[in-house]
Amino acid sequence: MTQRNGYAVPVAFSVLLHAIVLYVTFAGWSATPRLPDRPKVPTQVVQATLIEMKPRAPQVVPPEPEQKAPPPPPPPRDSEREKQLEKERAEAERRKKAVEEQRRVERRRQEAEKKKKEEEQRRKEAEERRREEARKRAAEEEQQRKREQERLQEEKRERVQEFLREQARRQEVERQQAQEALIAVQSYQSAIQQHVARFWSRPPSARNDMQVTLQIQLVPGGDVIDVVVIESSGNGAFDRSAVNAVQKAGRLPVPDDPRLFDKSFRRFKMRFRPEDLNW
Amino acid sequence: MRLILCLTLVLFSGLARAELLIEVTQGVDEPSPIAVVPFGWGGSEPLPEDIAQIVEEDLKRSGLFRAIPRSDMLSLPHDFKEVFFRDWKLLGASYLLVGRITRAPGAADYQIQFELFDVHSRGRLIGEMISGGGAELRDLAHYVSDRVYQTLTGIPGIFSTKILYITVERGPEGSEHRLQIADVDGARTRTILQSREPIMSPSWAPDGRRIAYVSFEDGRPGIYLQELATGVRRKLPHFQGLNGAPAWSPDGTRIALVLSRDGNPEIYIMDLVSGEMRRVTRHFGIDTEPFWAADGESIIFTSNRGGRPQIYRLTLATNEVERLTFEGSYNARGRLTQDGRHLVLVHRRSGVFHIGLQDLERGGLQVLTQTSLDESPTVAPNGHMVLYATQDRRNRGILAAVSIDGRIKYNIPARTGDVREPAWSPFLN
Repeated sequence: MTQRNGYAVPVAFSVLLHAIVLYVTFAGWSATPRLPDRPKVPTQVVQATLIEMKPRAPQVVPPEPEQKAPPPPPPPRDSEREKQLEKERAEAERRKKAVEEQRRVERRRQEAEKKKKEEEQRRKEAEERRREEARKRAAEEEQQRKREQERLQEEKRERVQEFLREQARRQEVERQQAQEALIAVQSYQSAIQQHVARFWSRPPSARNDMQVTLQIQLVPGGDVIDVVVIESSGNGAFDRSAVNAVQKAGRLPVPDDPRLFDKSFRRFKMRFRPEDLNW
Repeated sequence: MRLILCLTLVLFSGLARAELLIEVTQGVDEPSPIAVVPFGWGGSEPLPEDIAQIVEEDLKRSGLFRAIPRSDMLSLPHDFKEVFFRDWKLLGASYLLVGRITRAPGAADYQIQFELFDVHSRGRLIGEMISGGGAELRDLAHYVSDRVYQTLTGIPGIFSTKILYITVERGPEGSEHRLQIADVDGARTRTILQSREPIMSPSWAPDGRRIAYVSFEDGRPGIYLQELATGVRRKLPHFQGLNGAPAWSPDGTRIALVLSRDGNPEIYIMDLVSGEMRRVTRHFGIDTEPFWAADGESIIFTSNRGGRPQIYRLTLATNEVERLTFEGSYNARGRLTQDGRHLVLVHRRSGVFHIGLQDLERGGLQVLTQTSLDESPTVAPNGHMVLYATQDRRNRGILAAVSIDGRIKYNIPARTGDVREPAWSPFLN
């Protein structure tokens, strides 16, 4: 906001300046070629401009020829008159010449002045252009800098986004892996359950409300290496029937994936709780 | 996404932290494989009995064990030092029974030292030493069977118990009736009473030393009490009409019986000490086949008071009668398991008589047998087996056994004649 505010004034100024320069330039250019056609009368426009801009010069110059022109001597007599005439002629000639000379000088001066003004104008324009260019360059540089900054910011944002996306992707993968692991665990769980159930012979003292919990230790491949009763049913025969079921099963179906095996099947609990007995 | 993440974490952490628990709720209940190695014997003369063989047969007959054939055995160890568990595991044995029989020079008694091992855990489950005379070798063997059975099944073994039963042989000069006693495996049969007239309703006293039965030897039914060891017997006072179905009370001081002296069969209780007689049922229908509940507080009996034979329970303190069976049109000869939970009975279904089991706690009647003309169920003292009379394919009466869960069934082939009315003894010490 402050930046925009800060630019507002220079931009307005610049526009104004441009307008002025354009105006001046246009006017200047259109005046200049017309000037040689009417050398005798300096254009009002030019003069006005000059007066406006350099009020000193025109004040001195224009009245001079008018002051010198008025005093022509009265015509002399014949010889004398001739002489006088001659003299007058010469004088007139001289004056004319002088006037012409003066005019030439004046014109040259004007031209020089004009040239100088044009020069000045050009210089100013050049200066203006330079300044403009510098300003533009500065603005461009500023813009460049800003763009760069924005680019960097964008890149940074992009990187963050990418990181988040990557993270989300990773999480999704992990979630899927967890899901798959869970499903795998469940499928092996039921495979083990069914496998062991095939070896479970309940003693006649078994009842449906009995339960025994075993701690089972396997080695990769599923071989049972240890079975311990960790929560007895209170009925030794029932407990033993469960232990024997696992022992007889011998090798349990377990995942090949060592991570999954270590996580869930190296050591796990098994609860035997008959539901299919008569009572 | 955050929710998913949270769920993932919860799932994953749950998975990671809680140790896996696998629940097994079904089983196959196949017989446990057991290797009974022939017991070692260092004596010069052969032993009168093959102890290991008797044990193996006992265990096999229970239906809960499968024996590893001797011919498969890679070694014949007699004690722990000689056992290579790997061999037995290889043979598929879960349990291993080994033993050694010795007799000190000049001594009459044999000593049997036996050990039971769990092949998988390599643990010794039993290690014992017993002794007995030459005539008791079978008893020693049955004792070993009982110990093994109890250890491995959690319920007391019944291999040392005995059974009473009646045999009838029809000859050219008429029928020969015998009351016999035998080991539960059918061995060592001994005739207690032989008669040309019918013998019926043998019943054990709770001490296992006395029995009661009905004999028609006088031409009319009489109830007799007899001591097994001495053969001394006593006839209960006779009453007009039917005298039958004696049943010992659990404390052994009373006998329930059926008399028809008042017109139709009713149940009476006789005090054996005072001789006092008390009538406990009053109904114009037939009340018969009394059986005492193990707590002695009630008697179950069969009555047709509802029109069809059904089983009722009489609470002795209040004389209240409650009908127990409702399924089907014929339920009779009720016997209760020792825990009082199950009622074993003869149930007629589609015109065929089967042994049925009613769960008195949860209700529901289950038919245990596929044979027909099943009668006279008697429950083993461990409450696990039921012995009953049925007929084989040649219509000969035989004894058969069924486990109370219906899983195990076997027949005891009759040697001669018809076999009827088995009565399973209580545990004998």
